[in-house]
Parts: sequence; structure tokens; C-alpha cells
Amino acid sequence: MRSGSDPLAVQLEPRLSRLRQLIKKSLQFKHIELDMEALYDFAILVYSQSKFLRDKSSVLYVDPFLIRLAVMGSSTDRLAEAFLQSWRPSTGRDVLSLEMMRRSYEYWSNLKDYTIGAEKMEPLLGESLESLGVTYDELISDEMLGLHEELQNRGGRLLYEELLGEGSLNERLRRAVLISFMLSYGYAVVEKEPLKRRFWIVAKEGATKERPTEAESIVTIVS
Amino acid sequence: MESSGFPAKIRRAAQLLFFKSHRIPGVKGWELKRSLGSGYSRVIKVLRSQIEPLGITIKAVGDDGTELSLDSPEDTLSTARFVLVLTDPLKVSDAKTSGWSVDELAGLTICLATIGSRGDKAARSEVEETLRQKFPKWKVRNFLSKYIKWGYLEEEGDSLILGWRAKVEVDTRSLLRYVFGA
Repeated sequence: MRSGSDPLAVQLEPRLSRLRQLIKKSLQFKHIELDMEALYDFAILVYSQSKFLRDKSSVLYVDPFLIRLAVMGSSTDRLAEAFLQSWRPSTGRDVLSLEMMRRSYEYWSNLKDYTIGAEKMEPLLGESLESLGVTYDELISDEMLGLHEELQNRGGRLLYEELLGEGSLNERLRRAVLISFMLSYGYAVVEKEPLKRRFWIVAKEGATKERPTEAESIVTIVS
Repeated sequence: MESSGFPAKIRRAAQLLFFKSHRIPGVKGWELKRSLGSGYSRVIKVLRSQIEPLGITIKAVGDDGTELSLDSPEDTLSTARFVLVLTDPLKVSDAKTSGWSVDELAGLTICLATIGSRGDKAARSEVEETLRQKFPKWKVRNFLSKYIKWGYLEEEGDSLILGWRAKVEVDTRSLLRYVFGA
């Protein structure tokens, strides 16, 4: 039986009658063991049924369906207010103890070296992009303008994560690069909402900067 | 008993409760007994009366999340967690100053209400589905991992249950009432 399902949906009586018949025929220890296991599961089910009825008859019982309706009918502001009314946050101050220092030391000592050699970094030029199957011109003109158009079609203002989409990692990385190009060359601007930790990308009508040259690319490949 | 040693015990109790030394805040009853000796609940009650004018109180919470009276026998309190909590509700602006967004607060309300209405345990898929009524998929994933990390929810197989922090900080029954009133 799955967690969260209704225990009363299981008809116990026919199953118990069947088990009663089987127990009479069980001669081997292995079979008796299985019968006992089934009996134990039935006992758990009876307990669940009893608890379910007790909870449901309680004056404090709240139907999950009603909760869902209440959630759907409330604004996020009202839901946040409901939480604040019943929330008494715990308080305290973090201090550094010997145990925490020991754990920190262990953590830092076990970290692997992670360095990026400067000599291994190279600017992403048109030729390198071509080896990836895309030309620099295509990337900053066709695709970027396509994304700009998509942004405009979706209301002209989207959260950064929404514009990034839910595609594969490669697809999202590609869109992240395109968004950065859009912002760099004035096709869109960022609006920040620090209190809500949100970043909106807002479309602009046209570029405010000249088209970049290959040498201006800020993207680098780390080998 | 209440000689020169008693004020020192109150100061020691304040140190134990105010300064977090574990991942989970608060101090177990047996830890207080080890440090303050038997009769520690009386020390805690005096400390409580001194800090309550500041809007902070001391709450003893059992393993199952029920709040215990400080007048309970010390044997009963030994496994309880003693935590400092605020006495008054916060305003939205206060919560924002503490780094919470309105969406995060609303999302947590939905999770706790759904789990509370299911007897403190609900299938993760059901919680996600209810959250999806209000938030996009990427935000739902993000919220759930945050709530689990902060201790408000815990994973139990394919289900979600109330975490230690929800048990200590949130009155789920009153939350359900407010949700219906919202």
C-alpha cells in the first residue's frame, strides 16, 4: 500500500478469510512464516484504519482537498501572512567552538587542489566557435536576435531563470551566453529585486552599442 | 539553593541557550542537567522571566514536536530540546530583512499546510503538485531543497515530514486556521 493512500480502501474481511483457509493448509515452516507476516501486515492495516478514522473524526481534522482549495484561492502575500502569524522563529548566535574548528580544519585539509593555469585559458575566437559548429556571426546575430524576439513575445519581461529555460545543461549554458550578449549590447537590461532575490530581464527595442567584433568577446574556453 | 551560585547558574544557562554550538539550535534537557545540576528547570524558568520582556522566551519541545511545560518532571524534560524563540509574530518587512522572500514564506505555508492536513506526513509528489499551483517547476525544486536544508522539512523515503525546525517554530494547527482565513 502506498504512503498517503486511504487505508479504508482495502477490504480486509475477504483477505482474512482467505488467510484463515491457507493457515489450515500450511504445513511447511516457510509457509507458516509467510502467513504470520501477512497477519502482521493486516494488524498494521487495522491500526492505520483506526488512526485514520480517529483523525478524521477529530474536530481538528482538515481535509487535504480543502487545503488545496484554500491555497489556490489565496494570494502569495496572504499565504505568507498566514505563516508569519503562526511562526515564532528560534534565535541564537553562532559561535566558533573547538569542535567546529576541528571540522573546519579537516574540511580545508581534505580539499583537492583546484587551480586553473592562466596559460591554459584562451579567448574564444570565431575559429574556435566554428569548431563547435557555430559561427560567431550566427551566435551574436541570429540566435541572440531570436532570443530577443522570444523575450519580447513572452511579455518583454521575464525572470532570468525563466528565460534560461529547463533544457539540458548545454542548452541552458548556451542561452546564458546569449543572455549575457543581449545585456552587453543593449538588447535587454537587468532589473533587480534584492529583497525577493529576483532578477528580471527586460527587453529593449534595439541595440544601444555597436555590434561587437570577435576580439571583444569576453567568453573564454578553459581546457 | 538561591545563594551566590544561583545567578552564576542563570548566566551559564543563558550561555548554553544563546550560543549555538550544534547544527540544530537549542540544548537538550540532559545537557542542561549536566551543566547546571538537578533543579535546572527552575534556573530556566528564572532566566525565562528575565528575557521575556525582550520579546524572547524559552520553549521546551519533545522529540515528537509537542511543546512541554517547564513544570514537567525533569525526567520528562531530559530528552526535550530547550530553544529560544521570539514571542511575537514578525511582520513581512521583518522577515524580508532577515532574508526571506514573500514567495519563500508562501511556499513554506503550502508545504506545512499540505503535510499538516495529511497527519504530518505527505507524499513528496503531492506537495510538489500543490506548490505547482502557485509557482513554476524550477522554483518548486529550489524551494523544497531550501526548506529541507533549513530544517523545516525532512525526507522520509518518497514522503516529506515536518522537520525539527517546523516542530519548534511553527504552530501547524494555527497555521491551518490562518490558511483557511487567508
